[in-house]
Amino acid sequence: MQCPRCHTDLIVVEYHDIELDYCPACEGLWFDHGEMELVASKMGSSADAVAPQQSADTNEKKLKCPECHKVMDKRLLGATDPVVADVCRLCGGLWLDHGELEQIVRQHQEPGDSPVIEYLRDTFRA
Amino acid sequence: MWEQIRANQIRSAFVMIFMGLLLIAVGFVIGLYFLGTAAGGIVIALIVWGILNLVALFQGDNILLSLGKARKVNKEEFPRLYNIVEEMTIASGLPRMPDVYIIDDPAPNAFATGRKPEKAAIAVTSGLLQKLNRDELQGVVAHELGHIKNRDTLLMAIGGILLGTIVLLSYFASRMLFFGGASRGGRRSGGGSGGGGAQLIIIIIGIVLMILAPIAARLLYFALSRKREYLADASAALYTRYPEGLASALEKIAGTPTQLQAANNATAPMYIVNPFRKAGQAASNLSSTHPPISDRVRVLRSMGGASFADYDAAYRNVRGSRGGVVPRGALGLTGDAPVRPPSTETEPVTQTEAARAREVSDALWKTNKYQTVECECGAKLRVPPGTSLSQVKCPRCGTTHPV
Repeated sequence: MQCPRCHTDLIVVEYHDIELDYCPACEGLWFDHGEMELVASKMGSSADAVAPQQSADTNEKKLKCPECHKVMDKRLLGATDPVVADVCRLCGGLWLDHGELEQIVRQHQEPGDSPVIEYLRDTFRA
Repeated sequence: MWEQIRANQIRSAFVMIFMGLLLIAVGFVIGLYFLGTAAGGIVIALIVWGILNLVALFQGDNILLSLGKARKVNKEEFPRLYNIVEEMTIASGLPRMPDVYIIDDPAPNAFATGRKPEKAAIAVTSGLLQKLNRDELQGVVAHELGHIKNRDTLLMAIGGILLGTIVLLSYFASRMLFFGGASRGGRRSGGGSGGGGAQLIIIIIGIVLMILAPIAARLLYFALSRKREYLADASAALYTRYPEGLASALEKIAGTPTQLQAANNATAPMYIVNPFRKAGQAASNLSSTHPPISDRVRVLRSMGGASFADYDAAYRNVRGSRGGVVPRGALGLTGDAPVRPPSTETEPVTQTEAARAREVSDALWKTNKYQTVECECGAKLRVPPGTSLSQVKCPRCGTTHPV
């Protein structure tokens, strides 16, 4: 699988028995369909904080899904200061650029706010 | 090999003959409509059937396994599974150990394929390996080897090809009927000189047949597979000498809500439990490929010993039916088979579900040829084969590792 942004081979990062696809070059992160929920359920929490919302109106460059190779949708993600994430309509996968990841993590500063965010912060130094 | 099928179940043969007749009927109607001669249609139907047979003959097993996204594993990659298959091959008396495949899917399930025991293969999902302990996994593997030994895989392959031909032919025929091909052909052959009423009736019968044939073929195919599940359960009990293993495996599988992703309608009957089961759906109806799991579990649990005769008695008892499930010829063959005590697991790797999950995931990465880099900070980096990367940086601690 290749990074939709810079086309580097994605590597799999496993930490605490959770595996995520990660771009070693641009540090973006790929979640297969349901993977975010899986991460959340492993930590006994919900993935609400990182669930994609309504579609976003943006001129940002369209990305192709690393799994299905079709153009992905732009969807808003996060509550207070939403980021524009890429979501594949076909497979339901989700791509977060490193900056987007940082922005989401920054919104949840208090520790214990969301274990999923906590995990992403710790593992991907966002 | 035909003796075994015949001795096992004459009913299966009837079902097959019926499916064959259905195929001929479909050919007949196609011939009447599009060619003006019924014989021509039948010939076309048989040719299509022959082609599908040839395709299946040359790469049937590969198609099935690639449909299910299966990966072959060897002894080093997955010793636990491999040992169990080895052991059950000996118990079942199969001439050759089947190839072993893993399907990366969280839904626990398994299936067997191969027309000949010499060329058979079994596939299990990663979810199954994760959920089941040794005795349970052994029960499931024995059930699948039972399918191979009883020639169910052959029967289902033949039945599946018949089903496929009928579905294919009626699909195209009904398309052509609706988009005009038939009306022209029909008028030409009728000469336009009347007989309108009779022709209309034939057209209606034809349309009805085109709609019903694939459904009927599917029901027949399912009936065929359902019968054979009990027999494979009986075989599993005999090979493992431990009916409780399969019983508890079936319960675990039934208790999982996830649906198998890689399954499709054509491969459904091959699985140990129906992969299309929805939550709250009645487990058994006309179109279900498998008998209700609760019944299968109850039969297994009420067995006095582990022989075919014990299974047959338990089956009659639980189902309240006079007819048994094991063919009479095979009842006495196995003699007395006392049930063994549960095995004590000594290998720590298989004791907890979390440990098994790690074992399965490591094996899958290995079979997929990923290179694993273990970082000092506790993270594991898995690098895909053939990558252009020469080094990777751990996202967690920032250490750079050569690839």
